[in-house]
Amino acid sequence: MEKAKERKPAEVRKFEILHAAYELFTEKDYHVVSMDDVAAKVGISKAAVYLYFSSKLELFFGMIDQGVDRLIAGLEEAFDDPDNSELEKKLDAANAALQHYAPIFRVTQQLMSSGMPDNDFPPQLVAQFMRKMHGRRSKLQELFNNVFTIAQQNGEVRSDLNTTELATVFGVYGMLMTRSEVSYETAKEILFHGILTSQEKR
Amino acid sequence: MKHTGLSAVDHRFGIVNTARDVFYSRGYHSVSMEDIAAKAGVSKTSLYNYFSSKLELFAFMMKHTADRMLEEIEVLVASQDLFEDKIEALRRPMLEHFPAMVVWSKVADNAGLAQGQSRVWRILMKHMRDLRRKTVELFVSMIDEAKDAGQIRTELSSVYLAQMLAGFASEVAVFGVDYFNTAKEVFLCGTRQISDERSEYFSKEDAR
Repeated sequence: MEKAKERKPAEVRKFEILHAAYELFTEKDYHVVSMDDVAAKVGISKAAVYLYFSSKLELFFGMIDQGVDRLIAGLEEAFDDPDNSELEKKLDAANAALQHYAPIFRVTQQLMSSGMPDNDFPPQLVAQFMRKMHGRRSKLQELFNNVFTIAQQNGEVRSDLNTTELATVFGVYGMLMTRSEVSYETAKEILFHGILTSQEKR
Repeated sequence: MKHTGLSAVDHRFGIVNTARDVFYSRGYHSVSMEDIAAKAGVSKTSLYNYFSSKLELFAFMMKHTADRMLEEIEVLVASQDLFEDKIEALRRPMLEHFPAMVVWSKVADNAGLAQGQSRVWRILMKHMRDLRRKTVELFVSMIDEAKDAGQIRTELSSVYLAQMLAGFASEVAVFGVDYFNTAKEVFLCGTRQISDERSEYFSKEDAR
């Protein structure tokens, strides 16, 4: 290093590293991204990256974790927005947020299905990450449960449907949307009106 | 090996049936190859002759279960005329194979525990992707038939609808039976309060 870099607060540095990781991991395959690449992108030494994350996997998980946290914060804000009092507006906002964070779901899925390179995946770390993700999933579930409960109180949603299960149903749409397996328009149409022609209904 | 009149393939399937019971009742991580060998009445050595690891046995079991489930679904769906009844027909095979999916979701969650077994893991993941692909194909043809019969709306993409249905199916394992009822109802009729355009139809129904 020619010149000592200006020291930045740890939180700022950590944010920069996570941001660089997001750009690299969503652009290239996990296996070809190196800690050197991350360091180069931030403009710091590899040793400095290791101060914050002790392995590439830990950095990867940290990046996913941060993304999901921000998604949740974004959803909370959108759902509280008085402009989004209608169910449809809330779901539109949720869709925009999900699309925005779709890359993190895509890369997680890719990493899980590509198989774990031997010796590179400490079981405890993976299990810990999975537990965390389960917690986030419950949190998302809770947020959507709230959305449907309010919609039900406002008479927008049939009163005979269980809102917890509705939240799960929408969770499935959300998951499929992040993988581009279903368009939001189709999902919304089914969620609101169902698949049957009106003659066939009941 | 003792001559029992059974081929190696039969033995494999016999073991898989035993393994299925053991995995269903006790999960994946707490079961050992010894447990399965003891239950199947074979020595641990001969079990390892058929399957080189617990994950490989599990992968074989999942493939076998997935194939059977798809066959069952295909027959049940073909035996119904109405789209709504076809969806209802999915209930039984889904619930019956529900434990397999529960165990699978546990295995998938603890992916890291399969350290040193990337090859088998990739095979297992491929089985699950194949299951998903075949399920979607089956649902696409089911949806296309219902469209032709005028039972369901034609303006929505069959592939998207099939993906949705397959998505619901895979979540039954995680969220349980009540969820099936809600998912089915929403998929068929939606969540909206009876709107003006539909109320005409519903009031006719009520009057009956």
